[in-house]
Amino acid sequence: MTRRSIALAMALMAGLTGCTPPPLPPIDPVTELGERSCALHPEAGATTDLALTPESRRTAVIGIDRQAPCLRFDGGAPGLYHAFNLPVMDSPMLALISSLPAGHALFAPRVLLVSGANGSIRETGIDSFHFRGGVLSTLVRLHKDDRQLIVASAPDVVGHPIERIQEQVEHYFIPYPYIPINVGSERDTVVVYSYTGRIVVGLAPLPNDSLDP
Amino acid sequence: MSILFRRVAAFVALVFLVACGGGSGVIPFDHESASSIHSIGVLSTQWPRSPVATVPGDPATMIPVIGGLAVAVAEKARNVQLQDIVQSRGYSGPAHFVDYLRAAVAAEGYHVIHADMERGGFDYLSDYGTTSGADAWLDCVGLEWGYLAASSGNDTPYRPEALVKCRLVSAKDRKILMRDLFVYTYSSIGSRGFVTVAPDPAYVFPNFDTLKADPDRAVAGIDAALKGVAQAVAAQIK
Repeated sequence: MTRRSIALAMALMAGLTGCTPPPLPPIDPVTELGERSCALHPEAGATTDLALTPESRRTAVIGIDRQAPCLRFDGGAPGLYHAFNLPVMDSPMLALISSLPAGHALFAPRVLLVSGANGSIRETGIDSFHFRGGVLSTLVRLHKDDRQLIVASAPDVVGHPIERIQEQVEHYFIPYPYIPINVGSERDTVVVYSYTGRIVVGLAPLPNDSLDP
Repeated sequence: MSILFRRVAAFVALVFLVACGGGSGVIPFDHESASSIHSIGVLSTQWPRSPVATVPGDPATMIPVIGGLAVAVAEKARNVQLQDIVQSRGYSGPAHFVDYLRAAVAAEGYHVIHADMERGGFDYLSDYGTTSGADAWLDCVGLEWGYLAASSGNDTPYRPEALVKCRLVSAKDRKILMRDLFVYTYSSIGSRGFVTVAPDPAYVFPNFDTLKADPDRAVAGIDAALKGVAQAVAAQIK
């Protein structure tokens, strides 16, 4: 399958199924890093900006593979990561970070937010990630002085299997006369938390959080 | 990376952002912003009176008109039978949810204040009053409870389900500290951005007949769903 057809299939499936993950090309879970040189702090310069999409939203789909930089945060076990530069925020924003199943691999995510001039880091661990449909995701409120968002693999859970059953109901209709047809099914999948995988990161304005007009 | 691939990747990301929570009004809890919240008034909740046994993808709908009618009649019959099962066991259903919710919120370290308030419908309250002494209000509304199967075939079993929406509101400034949707089931409803709690495999029934034949386990399954979804709500404010 060419990259063009994969891209079109991803777009079609995302548009049709919302939060149900698109059928990404399968990858094998990576549960061993082998000998890697891992930095104690995120490497300067190895960051990307989030693309600006309509409605002032910034989004990116990123693959984290074996060649991704390695981080030994707080002297703990090593993990692979990708770092994003955050835009200057004039109003409250939130970040949605999602890990997409790809074959039997599911990137084991955690999030590090680098803030302020002194680069203090606050962590959102994998226990703050939840499945929403078939996607493992978390939402994080960004603070005004957050400068960088790092999605890193959570080594504690790498290798752990997760069994998921996804019920699906396909809706069809015959246009003339209008006859709705619903066909239900379910599929059983086992994915393994991996050092590598595919992630989606998006920024959006915080919805109105006041009860007062 | 080709321009097409980049554009499609951005579109996929945008769809996820909108569908998976970021654009559906979900507000995540932020500990730093809510560090002054120590006591939470957990409000009494409103739920539909009766459970439902839903089969959203019944293939009988493929038969024009007659199929649709047959599905509607069968669904009504299942709902009545499930209601009878629940009543026969004296199970008060969603009344247990608020007990589980209060226990789960207390387990996260908050002082829980019981707050029973009159509700007129299935929406959040617009006013929480000022007298309870709570730092924040946890307002949950049940949307559906019972059992769900993707289809009527034996390869799509019945599993318990519970759907609830919740928000946590600061008593001090009426700011919404957390707002989210929760579902206990494997339903495709989860793909609309609900936090999806995996159902307990102990309460899986191959078809509705086996569910009817084991009413104690059927009711226990509903109870597990209400408890599981309550714990998921509390986990969002830890």
